[in-house]
Amino acid sequence: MKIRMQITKDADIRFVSHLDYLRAIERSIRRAELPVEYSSGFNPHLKFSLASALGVGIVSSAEFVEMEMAKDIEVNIAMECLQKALPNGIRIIDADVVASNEPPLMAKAGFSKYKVHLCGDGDKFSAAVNNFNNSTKVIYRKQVPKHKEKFKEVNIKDFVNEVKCEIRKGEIVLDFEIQIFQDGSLKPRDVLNSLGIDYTDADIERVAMYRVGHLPMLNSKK
Amino acid sequence: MENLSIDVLNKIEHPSRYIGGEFASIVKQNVNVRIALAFPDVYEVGMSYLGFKILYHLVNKEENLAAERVYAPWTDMEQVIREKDLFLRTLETKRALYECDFVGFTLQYELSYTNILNMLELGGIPIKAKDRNCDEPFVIVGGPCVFNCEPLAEFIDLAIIGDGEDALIEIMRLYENWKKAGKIGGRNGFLKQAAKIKGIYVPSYFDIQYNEDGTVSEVETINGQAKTIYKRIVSDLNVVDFPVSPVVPFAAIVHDRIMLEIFRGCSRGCRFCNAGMIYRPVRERSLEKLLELGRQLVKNTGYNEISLFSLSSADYSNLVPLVHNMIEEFRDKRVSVSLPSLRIDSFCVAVAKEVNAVRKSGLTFAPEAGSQRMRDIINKGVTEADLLKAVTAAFENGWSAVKLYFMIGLPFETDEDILAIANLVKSVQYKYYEVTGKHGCRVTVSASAFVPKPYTAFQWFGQNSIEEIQRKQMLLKDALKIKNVVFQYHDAQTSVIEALIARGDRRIGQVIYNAWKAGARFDGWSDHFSFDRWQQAVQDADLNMDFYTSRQRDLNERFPWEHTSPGVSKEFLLSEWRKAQKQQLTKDCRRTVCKGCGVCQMLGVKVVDYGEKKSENQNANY
Ligand code: SF4
Repeated sequence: MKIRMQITKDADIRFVSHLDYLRAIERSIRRAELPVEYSSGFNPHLKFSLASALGVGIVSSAEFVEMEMAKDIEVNIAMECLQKALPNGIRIIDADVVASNEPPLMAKAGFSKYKVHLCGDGDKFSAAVNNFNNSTKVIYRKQVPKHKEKFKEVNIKDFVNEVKCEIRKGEIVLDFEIQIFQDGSLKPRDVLNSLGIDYTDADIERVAMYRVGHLPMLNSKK
Repeated sequence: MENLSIDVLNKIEHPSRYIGGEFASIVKQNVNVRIALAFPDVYEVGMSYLGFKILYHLVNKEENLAAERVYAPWTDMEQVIREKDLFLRTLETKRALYECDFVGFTLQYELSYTNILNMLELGGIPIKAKDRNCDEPFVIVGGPCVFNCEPLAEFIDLAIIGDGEDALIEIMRLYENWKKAGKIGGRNGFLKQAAKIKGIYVPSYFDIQYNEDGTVSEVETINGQAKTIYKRIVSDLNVVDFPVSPVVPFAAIVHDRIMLEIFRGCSRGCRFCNAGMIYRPVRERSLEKLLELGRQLVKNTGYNEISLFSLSSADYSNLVPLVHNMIEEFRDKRVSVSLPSLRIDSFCVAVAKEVNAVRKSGLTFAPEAGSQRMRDIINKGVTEADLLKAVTAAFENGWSAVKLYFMIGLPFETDEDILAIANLVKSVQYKYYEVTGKHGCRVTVSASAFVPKPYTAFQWFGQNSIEEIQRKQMLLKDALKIKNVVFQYHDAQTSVIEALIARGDRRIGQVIYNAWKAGARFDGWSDHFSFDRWQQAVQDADLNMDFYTSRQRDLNERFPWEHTSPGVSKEFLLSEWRKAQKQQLTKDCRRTVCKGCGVCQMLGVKVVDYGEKKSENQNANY
């Protein structure tokens, strides 16, 4: 069986890198003594994976972890044990159980939904957002992963249909969904960049993730 | 308490160094006494230090006391702190250092001292002890270099000489009472009482006089202070608490694994080694105790590796049963066992094979010197035959690469001794050919420049000049132009500054101050170190570098560090210095007889080693 959980990366630990976040989960599983399968080989590791990598500095209430179990275990018990062993800043929101031969969660993710809080000139932002929403093509030079000097041109509109922009007193709130394709996706910072927004003080949160067709990721156990 | 803002953390490298909140970190908001355990290097290095794991756990276990952590901010973070007028803060309650009752630095390495001054300033604390007022923290130091903390005398309020387990709690409790009573007598009121605690050194209560030639003439004490502060020592490690739930970091740190201290001290008596003198005598933890601690550590941390930690782990009396039991017990949990250091013998290779965590990295041996003459001078106690036997075992067990550690610039060294290193390397490679019938054994040779340290047999020795070290490095480099041999060596200038501070007196404080003012930070990191800056700092302090580094000390000289003592007698060290010249060996006292270093008698402790017990009681469980 596979147990899948929706977990968080809260604001306190937003600056923990993706790799470190993974390692924190691995150590938590070990502390919880969950019967997760080990890979074979000289350097055995626990068989678990995350649905999608999250950039450093981004908060999330929609991380999905999938664990291959060596033994059957009641999902509620697994949740309870793991929650106790997790560091502050990672909470379990939901969980479900599927058969081992189900395709990995990673292959199912269709959209990530983000919310961004910013400060700045509201009029300038809404103009930029309007312009984005009304265009059919927004070309952006995206950095190729692991190649500092290499860039590739993408049309942001292939990934993001619309950005919603709400201006409250001195604060701008953006909402958008980024589509995830088999061969990749975009980072929320790419979207902000293409809008001409300096993201260094932007408070970015991944608020949800869906399957294609906006179906929920888990078959909720509730 | 204020947190760092998103834009700051977005702009700096490794932001998780500064956020805290790791698993098992302990946040205590309301307590009576708070200490910031301050490590003068970056998070990844500091988090790997066992001493602070122990103290963090011990202090936080106590009601109304709290220990927090702080590390040296990397240069990018320092810039942010200075530009935005922020303070260096602890990771737990995010207090600025000046808001703590104590700031406790560990002295691991002389070249981290400039970071101490920097952290004080960034934490809002006056650099010099005399400028601190009653509401400002006491700056306390400990750790291996504390046995000569004279160069820091001006900057610190007090020091714990020796094991800190008991002394730190006593000091914090004393402070609690002093604070409750309205801080009677001001800072001096507290220090006076603190100075009465065993192992506590208050530098301002010692007045140092110098001779015309610059050496120490007299040391006077005030306030009825004892003239010599002997180290505190934990006589039985089985009864002190060892942390079984240490902080588990998010970031990958230098030693990212369980560190289980299996014994303290080492009495092999290598004559260059400071740790071998200051941590005497050997005190082991029992096998049962270690297995129990290991069990809890594995469960509480989630780590998949346990390192059996000590100065020379292969010397542990029950090593084989310990390793066997652990491997057996943790097999299901895929926890591997590792040894941080290897002795040069085949027994050790056999154990290394079993723990096999070292397989990937290759085996490391430390003959320290190339010729037998030289190894006898330093009392290394191994022969070429020992080394060849050990590498034979290694090659037979499938290793094809070894790493060998040497020192150059040792006392009485000749060019032949240097060249002998190359010959030894060739013998190792030939051994590989003999064992496997193949060529191509990879040997990495690492040679560091010797730094004479206080409280060693070589404390009298005048260090080789930079030019001499460089000449020897070139000589060896040339001799090691051998196929499949990689030669690594360190910059000679760093070793000279290390030596300057290691055997420095109080006047060196000005040099450290000058260097720091001129921008010295992270001097242990070669890309940050500037020899010119240090040279200028010495000049501006009106001092002579050679007086501290290359000057051979007179046998009658009074050393600046003699009033803070690990209990090893000067007569013993002197006799070791004389024996070195005659290439005479002194055997380990651990399983033979007392060699008269004086520690046990002086401090009323004894060697704790389960080796003998085992032979007396063959029917024991293990
Ligand atoms: S006093 Fe004797 S037994 Fe104790 S550490 Fe020194 S040499 Fe060894």
